[in-house]
Formats: sequence, C-alpha cells, structure tokens
Amino acid sequence: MSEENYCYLVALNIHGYNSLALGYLQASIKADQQLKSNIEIEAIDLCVDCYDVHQIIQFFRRKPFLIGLSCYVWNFNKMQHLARLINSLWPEAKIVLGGPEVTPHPELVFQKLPFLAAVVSGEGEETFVELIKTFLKKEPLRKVRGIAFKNGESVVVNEPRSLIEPLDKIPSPFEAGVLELKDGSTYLETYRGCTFKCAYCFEGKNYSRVRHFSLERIKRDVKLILDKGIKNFSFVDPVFNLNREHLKKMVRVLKEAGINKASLHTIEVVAENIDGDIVSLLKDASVESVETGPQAVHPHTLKNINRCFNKERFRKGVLTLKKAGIKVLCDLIIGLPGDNFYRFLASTAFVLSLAPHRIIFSTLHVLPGTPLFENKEDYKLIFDPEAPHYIWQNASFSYREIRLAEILAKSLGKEYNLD
Amino acid sequence: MIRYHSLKINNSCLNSCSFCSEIKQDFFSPEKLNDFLNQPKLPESIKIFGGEPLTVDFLTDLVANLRRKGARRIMIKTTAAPLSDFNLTFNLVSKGAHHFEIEFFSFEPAIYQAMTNSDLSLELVLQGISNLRRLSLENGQNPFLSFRIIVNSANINEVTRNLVFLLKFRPDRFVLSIVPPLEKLDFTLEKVREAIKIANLNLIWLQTENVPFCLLGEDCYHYGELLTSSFLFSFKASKLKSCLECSASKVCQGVPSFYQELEDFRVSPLISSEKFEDFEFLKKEMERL
Repeated sequence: MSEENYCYLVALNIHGYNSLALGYLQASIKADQQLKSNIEIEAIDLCVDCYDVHQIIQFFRRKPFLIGLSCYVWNFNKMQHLARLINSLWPEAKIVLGGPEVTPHPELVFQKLPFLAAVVSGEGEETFVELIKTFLKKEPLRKVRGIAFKNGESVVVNEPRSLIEPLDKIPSPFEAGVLELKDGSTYLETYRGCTFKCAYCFEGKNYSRVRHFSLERIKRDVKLILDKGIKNFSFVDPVFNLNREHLKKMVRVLKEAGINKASLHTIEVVAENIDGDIVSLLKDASVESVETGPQAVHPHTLKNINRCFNKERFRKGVLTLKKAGIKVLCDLIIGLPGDNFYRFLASTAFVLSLAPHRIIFSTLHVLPGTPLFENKEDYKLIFDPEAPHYIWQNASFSYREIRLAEILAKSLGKEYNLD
Repeated sequence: MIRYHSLKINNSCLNSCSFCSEIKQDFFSPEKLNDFLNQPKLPESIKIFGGEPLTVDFLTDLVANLRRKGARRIMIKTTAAPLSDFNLTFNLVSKGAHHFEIEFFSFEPAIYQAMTNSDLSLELVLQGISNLRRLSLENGQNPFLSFRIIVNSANINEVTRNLVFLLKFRPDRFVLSIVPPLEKLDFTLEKVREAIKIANLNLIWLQTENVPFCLLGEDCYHYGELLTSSFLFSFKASKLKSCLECSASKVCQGVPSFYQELEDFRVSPLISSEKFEDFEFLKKEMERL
C-alpha cells in the first residue's frame, strides 16, 4: 500500500459521544474491495470541547492524502479552523467536508474555504467511496453525484445522488467493528427521514421519504451492542413511535435480540401518540427515558414552526409515561418565531405543570436547510450566520427578551434539573 | 413554578430580624415530622427552613431520609454561618441537599449586624458560602445557590454593591426581597432596577419579592416571577381602586401596606398593553400550576 494513500476522517463530538457517521464511512470504505487494498483509513473521533485545533493536528501521525471532516452545527467553527490549518500544513492534501452543516449550501462553504477539494451533500456513504476512487484515479469530479467542487473560480454543484435503497446496502459499523462502543453513549439508527416537517429541524435532512433498515439488520446490530456488554444505549431516530405497527415489530426484534439485559435512554417520542398500549411496548423494549416536546405551546408559534400539538393529548401522554415509570424529558426552544417572553413563560408554566423528569431549554439554532433558514425574511429572523446559528431576534421576540429568557432558563433549568 | 413544600423545623435563629414573619409560624414537632416522613408519597420539592435549620442536629439525617423517600429537590434556607463547619456542609450535600437559599443582608459587618439585630460574624457567613462553593456534585455541577438579599432603608444604598460582592460566589439566582421600613418609593425602585441590570449583565436571574407588578411597570422581565413563589407577598397587602382595572389583578394580591404608607407612593395599574393577550395567555397557563 502506498504511503501516500493515507486517509483521515475527523469528527468532533459532544463530550462523551462517538460519531456514528464516521462509523458508516469507515465501514463503507472497508467493505469496498478496490479501496480496501488501496488506501489506509484512520478515524480521529474526539470531543469538540476537549481539544484545540493544534492538539487535533497531533493525531495526524502521517502525511495525509485525503482528510474528511464531518461537519455539524456544534463543531463547524472548529472544523473551518482545522481545515485552514491542514491546508497550510499539507497543501497537497485533499480536504473534503460533509455532514448536515454543509449539505444544504455547499456554494457558501467554498466562499469561506476555497481550497477544499470537494463538499459532499446528503448521504455520504456511497458518495465518499466514489469520490476517493475518483481522486485515486485522478479522474474529473464532474461525474461524482452528490458533491460540489471548485472549477477555477466557479463552484460546480453536481447532480444529487439518489437516496440509498435499501438502507441495508450500507455496511454496519457495528459488524465492521469500527466503533468504540461505550455504555450510555452508543447510538443506533433504524431509519432515515422524518414524516414531521418541523420548521427548525434538520434531523430528517430533507429526505423525500422515510427509509428503514431491515428488522434483521437492526436485530443483528442490537445483538452486537449487547454482546459487547453495553447496558444502556439509544437510537438517533427522530421519532421512535412514528408508526404503531412498525413499533410493534421493532419491539419484537429488540426482545429477540435480548434487550431485557439492557435499557434504552432518551428515545425521542411524540407524546400525543402515547397511550397504554404504546407504553407497554416501550416497557417491553426496556425504555428507561424518553425525550419529547412541546418546544412551545402558543398556537401562533406552533403554526409558524409547522408543529402539531394537542395540549391535552400531550399532557395525557406525559402522565401515562410517568405513571409507567418512564422518565420524561421535555424540550423547550427559546426564540421561535411567533413567540415572545410571555409566551415562553406560558410554555414553561405548561411544562412545569407536567413535572417531567427534566426540562431541557435551548436557544433556537436557525439551521441551514430548514424552512426557517430558507424563509428567514418572512419572520424577520436575525441570527448568527456562523455556526451554531443562534437566533438573535425575530419579528415577535426582541433581542433583549431572548437574552432575558435565556437567563431565566439557565437559573430555572439548573434548579429544576439538579436532583 | 417549582412548588416547594415548606418544612419548618425549628424556631431558634442566629438572627433577630425585626421584619421576620417566619419566626411567628409554628414548626414541625418531632411527631408531626415523623407523620410527614411516613406519608406514602412525599412531595418532589421540599424547602427546609426555621429559625436557622442548620442548628438542628438531626438535619443531615432528615435530608437523607427525605431523599430516600423520593424527594428530588431539598432547598435549605439558611444564613450560611453554620456552613462554615466544612464537615457539616460536606455531609449535608453528600446526603442530598443540593439547593441552598442564603439570606444575605450586607457585605458591611455593621449593616449586617444592625439589620439582623445579632452579633453574627459576617466572616462565618462568607466562610460558609465559600465552603458550599468548594463542593461539586457527582455530575460535576455545583449545588444550586440562590441569594435572598433582604433590602430595606438600612441597606438600600448598598444594594448593587451587595450584588457585585456576591458575584464571586457564582450564584444561580438573586432574590431581592423588599421589606419595611422604606423611605422613598422612587429611590427604592431605582435601586431595584439598577440591581436587575447588574444581575442581567452578569447573566444571572434576579427576581424581586414583595414587589407588585405595577410598581416596576410594564416591563416583561418582572413576569418571570410568576414562575416562582415570589409574587406571593409575605406582608399584608390590600387591593386598591386602581387594582380593579389592572390586568394582573387575578394573580396579584394588591399592594403591601408598607408601600402605601410612603410619602411618594403612587401606582400605575397595568392596563392592556400591546402584549395584553399574551399576558392573558400566560395567566391561563398559570392557573394549571
């Protein structure tokens, strides 16, 4: 193997977590017969707040041929800094960016980082493999679907790649043994896409439809996780109880895989759809805690963010979960269009009345690719153009009121959640 | 609102504040405390106060007991002086007391002693607060620390300096509790507004206590207090004529009489503002609490 074909994949995660995305990419590269013998790949999977860019560089032990940076809202500032440093130290290295933060507007990314070899948009598993092969063969990038690249001064955005179908085509990172599994921070994906279209959310990544991994694949992966001695893990799925019939099948598979030996935490659910039957299924699946909305409760705000919310059904759902001993974490977002300080207080009062296990306050991130980002003028959204794109003010929520809401939330959140 | 269930466990206090209303309340006898502990389900949030609850020798056991029986939040209201004994502080926190409300009067020893009618050493108070701030919980966080700063004419001039002085202890909240006697309403309110500005500048929530909404005006900030118990006054209050037209009348008890006695007293009831509907919406949610 050539010394020159050394490839690094870099992820900078929230403290305690590892990158599932990097696992998928590594598994895909390793499964490709042609690449397997032609490149060597190494993942640098670190905590975003634990290292500065100069420390991250210490993990590059060899001269890189290609570096892939996995970009999310929480790491994009540091990733840009890192890309500039890498480009200065190894100008010949090909730097490729991918991930939700760069997917929607690759042309904007090249304005900031014109030296990039390519930006991958959308699902990266197939695109990245083809891109590496194209680089190795020194062929033009024009034919690689799902990427953008620079040609002279202009940015060329290639045709998008079709969605990967079936999802089982993606090699399992658990079977490939490329993930370091840790208790409490191991995550599994069972589907991609989302039927809900909440205007602030990019979890569904604008995929046109929902695709599931097969139940057999999920069962195998869960078994592998449990065999490694993991006692507590979670799913990255946007909504776990998306479909009652599918949930039944999922729970059967989880039970067959031996889920009773472990527990599931912070599973995202739609509280309005929770009833006694669903709770029984969640209990069978060893669900210990769930995370849910409401994000906000004022009808005008909810309409702006395209969120269905039924106060009484939500309340009933939360109380049913609590009664069954499942911990409920409720989310509230500060700075949504249509909200203001009073309405935020009303949302908080509503959530407090449910006495959930935790209340998670967060400030709105106006994420590229979301309807809020694309329609920012409609709501007079003013936000930080740089990641993590925090809202500064909107037509209904003034700059001062948002800051006050944050200060109140910091105090109340600590008082409530500290037990 | 986090509703704390009040548990008064003694009457002896290190201070003898003339304005204290708590001293007159009955406290739980050991038998009554036992009954409380033997309930099938305890409230999630419990506030232990006195007197000075930290002088009660069974406090640590009580905290451990309450936690064992399911209490999630135990707030201890104290002068902080007994926390100068590090062993006591460590034991209390390790047994599960993670929320503290410290009553504070002044960083000037003479004012502190004058307000509390005691010879309590301010040095001990500060040592107690420092001890508390030295401790981390298992999750890496510090205990929740709220300073209730008692304000009247004796320390109104120093109120902002008190706040600045306390910032070094990294508080999670300030409560500005206005009590009689006061001299001038306008001056008092000016100082309260200054204090809010300083707290906010340092990203700390400050809530006022015993201040009706109409005194601080239409500013939305004040309504955050609806989520706490501080809009329930600890002093006798009465409704005025103007309260009839005030949009906050349903959630407000009126105006405490010690304000009404001031020479420059006047109120402007909150009348429908551009956010009147939102205030009504908020009140509806409040009714559920």
